[in-house]
Amino acid sequence: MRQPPDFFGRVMARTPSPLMMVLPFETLWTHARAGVLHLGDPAPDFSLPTLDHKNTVRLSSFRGSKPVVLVFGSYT
Amino acid sequence: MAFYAVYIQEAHPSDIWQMRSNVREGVVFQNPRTDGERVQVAESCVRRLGIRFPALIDGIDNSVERLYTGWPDRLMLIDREGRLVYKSEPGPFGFEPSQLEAALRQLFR
Repeated sequence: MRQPPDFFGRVMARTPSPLMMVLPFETLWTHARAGVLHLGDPAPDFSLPTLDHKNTVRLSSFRGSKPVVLVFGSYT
Repeated sequence: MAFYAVYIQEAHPSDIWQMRSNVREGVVFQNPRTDGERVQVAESCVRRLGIRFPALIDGIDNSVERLYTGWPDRLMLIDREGRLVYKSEPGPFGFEPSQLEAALRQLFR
């Protein structure tokens, strides 16, 4: 999906429910959110604060030492 | 093995795309507009869902979500060489922890 998530959310919020029953939504969704990363690609580096803001974690600091699992998500 | 929750942009904030199920469960938040607001929602999320592994907070510019296409939720596994070895399909349909478990078993075999 080239549009940002909040744009997509606004469109979806206005989409009539019956239309959702007709469209192959899961297939469209999977395609739309495929992204550009593929298996085997170097994981893009980033640096993010921990929730308590006491530490910063840089992904590349684990390179050569341990695998990393990332669980992306939010509350809602 | 490092294990991180990456708290990203809300999937169903009340001012954009609210879900009835979230209203029923009292999980109603407006889309955070600042890093501080995002941290507040993230703290509620971690506390009420009982997430026990460390959480990282994506910036309000959503830069890490954009790099990984993590929204609305997604699982990734990166090996010791820094390469992506498992990428789930996008949630909610593709959020399958059993697939991550299989990828971890493969990695440590």
